[in-house]
Amino acid sequence: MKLQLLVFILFLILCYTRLFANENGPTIPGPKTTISGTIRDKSNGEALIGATIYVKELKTGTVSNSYGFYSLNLLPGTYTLVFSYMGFQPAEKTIDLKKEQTLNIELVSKEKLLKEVVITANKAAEDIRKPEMSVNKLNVKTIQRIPALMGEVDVIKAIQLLPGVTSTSEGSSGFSVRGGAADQNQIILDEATVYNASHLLGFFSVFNNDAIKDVTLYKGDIPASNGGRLSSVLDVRMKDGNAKTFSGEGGVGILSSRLTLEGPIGGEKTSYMISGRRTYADMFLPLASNKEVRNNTLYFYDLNAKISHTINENNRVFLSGYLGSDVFKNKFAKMSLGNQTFTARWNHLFSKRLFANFSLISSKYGYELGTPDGNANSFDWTSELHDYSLKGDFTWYINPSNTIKFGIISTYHTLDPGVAKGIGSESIFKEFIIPMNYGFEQAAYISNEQKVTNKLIFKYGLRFSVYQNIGKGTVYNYNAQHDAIDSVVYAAGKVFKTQGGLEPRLGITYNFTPSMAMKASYSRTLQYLQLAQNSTAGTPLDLWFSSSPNVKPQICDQYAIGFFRNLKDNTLEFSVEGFYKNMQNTIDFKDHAVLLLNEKLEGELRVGKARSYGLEFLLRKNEGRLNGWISYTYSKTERTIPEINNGKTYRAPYDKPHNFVIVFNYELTARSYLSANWIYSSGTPMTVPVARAMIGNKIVPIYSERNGYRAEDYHRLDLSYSIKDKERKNRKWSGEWNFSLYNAYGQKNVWALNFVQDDKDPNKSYAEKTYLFTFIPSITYNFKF
Amino acid sequence: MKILKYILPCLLGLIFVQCTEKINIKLDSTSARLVVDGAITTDTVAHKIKLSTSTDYFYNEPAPAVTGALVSINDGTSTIILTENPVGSGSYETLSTFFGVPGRVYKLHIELKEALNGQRIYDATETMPKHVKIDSIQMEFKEDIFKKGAWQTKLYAQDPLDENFYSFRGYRNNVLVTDSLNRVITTDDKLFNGRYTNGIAVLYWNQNMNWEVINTGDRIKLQLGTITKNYYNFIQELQLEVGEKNPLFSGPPANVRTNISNGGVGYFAAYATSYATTKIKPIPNK
Repeated sequence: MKLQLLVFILFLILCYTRLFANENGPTIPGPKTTISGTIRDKSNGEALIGATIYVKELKTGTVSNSYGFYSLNLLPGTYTLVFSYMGFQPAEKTIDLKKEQTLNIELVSKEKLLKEVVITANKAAEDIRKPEMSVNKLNVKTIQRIPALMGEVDVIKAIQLLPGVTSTSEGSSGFSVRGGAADQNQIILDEATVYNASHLLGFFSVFNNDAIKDVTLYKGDIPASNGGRLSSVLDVRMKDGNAKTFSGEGGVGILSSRLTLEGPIGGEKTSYMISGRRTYADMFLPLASNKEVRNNTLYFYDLNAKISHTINENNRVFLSGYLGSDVFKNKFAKMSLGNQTFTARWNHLFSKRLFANFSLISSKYGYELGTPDGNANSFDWTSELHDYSLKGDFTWYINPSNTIKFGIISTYHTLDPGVAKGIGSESIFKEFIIPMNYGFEQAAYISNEQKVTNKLIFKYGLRFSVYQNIGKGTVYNYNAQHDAIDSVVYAAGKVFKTQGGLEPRLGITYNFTPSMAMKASYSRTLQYLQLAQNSTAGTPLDLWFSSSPNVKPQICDQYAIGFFRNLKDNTLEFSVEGFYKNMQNTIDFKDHAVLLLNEKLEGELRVGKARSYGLEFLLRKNEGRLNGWISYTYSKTERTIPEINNGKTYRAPYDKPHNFVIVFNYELTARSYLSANWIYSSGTPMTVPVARAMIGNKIVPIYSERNGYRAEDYHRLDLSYSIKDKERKNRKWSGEWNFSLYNAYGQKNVWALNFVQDDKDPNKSYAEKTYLFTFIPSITYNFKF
Repeated sequence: MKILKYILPCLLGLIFVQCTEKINIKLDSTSARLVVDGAITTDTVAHKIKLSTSTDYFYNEPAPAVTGALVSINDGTSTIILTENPVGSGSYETLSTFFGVPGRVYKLHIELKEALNGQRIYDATETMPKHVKIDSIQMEFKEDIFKKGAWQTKLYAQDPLDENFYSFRGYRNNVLVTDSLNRVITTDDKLFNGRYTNGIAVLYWNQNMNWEVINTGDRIKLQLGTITKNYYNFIQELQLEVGEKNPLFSGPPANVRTNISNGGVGYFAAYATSYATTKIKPIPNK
């Protein structure tokens, strides 16, 4: 580590000395000036994230940021700028740059163009040139076309089809990135962490696709601006709202209905977006024949809202929020859970070359579980986690060769692990409180993207993060057997433990040709908050616990190398990436751990090492009548924890070596398309018995190795067909019918494996697999106006 | 929090139809180990310790008995030898006048005729917890639980101030209904320590299950056992391992703990019992 750091610092110094000396422009000396602006979608004014701006004369360019902003610092002169974005018609502008200039660009979606006109000029191979790897972007349209379970279009289910990503269990919203655990993914919605991204036990995710603009998954090479989770960042951005005209979209499906409305508020300066979704499965419950089922309540809903306002050229503000909840209730029990996020942001241009964004973020996840009152066993149990963050991110566009990003983030975490208490006068239960846990998580970062030559690009950054435990807090001391021996109570406001470290991020890109590149990266990530969960798919009863005097932060070092090649005029993208991840302070739980309502949770933890490695192949075609991707991943992931599995290395629960995915979309006619995806992967590792003992008239299994057995291979085909209404002039309304079939050939994939004692002959036992879905057809009507 | 076990499958069942199918899988083998299954209680009866061996998982025959062993129990003052009855059964008994005394430390010592998995001698130690007395029980019929309703056994007893662990077993007309270990109900007193139990439901008699059906005039007996923390954990773990598992809320399968030394499995338990009986009166609407 020391050596790594030294090399890194040397590297920084080296780069610094070159930073201002390095000029790519014409050789005439003189003061530079700036061209900057925002790139938007012409139809609705939505800022386009990651659009490219290419300066033909200099063979260089830049990329618009998360707010559509770009800035180029150039010598005065005449330039031809090409603005392009996937799925949009590129725009070319010739400018005579004499002094500081603002150039806002609106691009036209290809869908809006006449089908006959095909312009392929200057298609930029952005995936090749960008100095980033291990990143997958999915646009909303792609996600929409992937066949979905019960027709519920789902961002997370789409993510799970990417190379290096697997679902933790059939139908689950949990996902594992390059062998990482589900809680090592940072899922952010408009910068706010979404702690639990699932509805209905994970079968659906909290993201309503209609409210979303952009989805990016970082599987490695994580930008220095992000941290706090080891394995990945899933960056989800909400729509700003249509700034041009009032519009809406929605859909009616078999599970839920959704409606999104957006539009300007008095001119183009202000826009809003509001989007809701609710399931109505419970509305059919009264029809159920079983009276137990009839009295149940069961639904979930999501609400996304956002207001964007442009104060002037240099200032924009955004307010966005998400509110979602699952509610379940019957005569004996009730459960409700949900996330709430709120983000207030202010974009400010200190100069045309210094872009800043300040965010105020609140993020909350909580649940409540209980029984109706009036009984001796009536109780109520609540748990909640609430974060408040302040964040400042700066981008300094020094020149076309150097873009420096820096910023700070400070988060105050309040973790309420659980309060259980009796309710009503009859209840015998007293209040049982697990002490609150408070913490400060702080980070500062700086990074530069340096184009050394047009072929060689460096990216280097450093993040420094710390986690501080703050009183009031109770800390138990544990002996070598993990039994609590005593405890210390710290006074309110006292910082009683500070842990942290440096997180270097490095990347290098070499472009052999404009359509072929080699990339390599290294990143270190630290994680201070983790989920107390030892089941693979997970219950909604999330309990996050922090690093503390007894828990060290988890550390991951990831090395990756990749080859990227675009074929056929950049319409076909091919990439192969290899990665190796080494993780320290990996947390697993002891056998039969008690995780909930346990004030001595830290005594249930066992700590060790983990590593994973793999090779990912991806062939992707983004445009044309036939589009989609084929990916294959080979990976291994294993853990070595001294007190688990007798210290022997064992497979991590998400270790699925082979993973093959085809995502296919074919436009049959101008109005209809056919989509399919097929997944084939190794089965999940499982622990199975090697012997049995008869105890208390029950057959008790005896195990030898954790995750020593592998379930049969998993495979599934999903199909969907969609047809649009005939287009009519002077009618804004356009509708589309979507028919989908999940698990089309009814494969009975193993969801759970059980060993069951025969009811009739208690000496007999057999293995039984549980499978969830054979084929599930669904029909959805989507509309836009 | 047993409620989870109830809510989550219910939730799942509402959304999707889970299907099961028997499958054939090949499992590894391992050498046979000694299995101990026995308990002494404060009741005055012949207490049994059963010895058998572990087998391949799909053995599908009664567990092979371990016969001819020397089995003794020491209570700190004297040692008694258990006799195999009947000979060849692997079941070793105390005299029928034997009863356990709270507070005493019981040491089980086993010497096998032939070594199993390389071990001939096995030991286990358990302390008999103190009594907690039942004041009374009540039976109440709840129409809306399960398809045909359920009878609840409601407990009235004082929980002492220290940490206690309980087991509950139900008898119908003096026949033990909760006859296998996975049907014994256990609880800690974490959420009601030191309180009066005030008629909390401790057993549910599901009227859908014919072996739990209760009729007017039946005599229902509740056995409350005060058990050790280790035995409580043993039962919890055993119930998890013999119960149904799924990826949502089951942790990785793991071996059930044991208090038998030298690689033995199973448990030698000691617990103090307390009983209460009630007679089922006719209910107006049944």
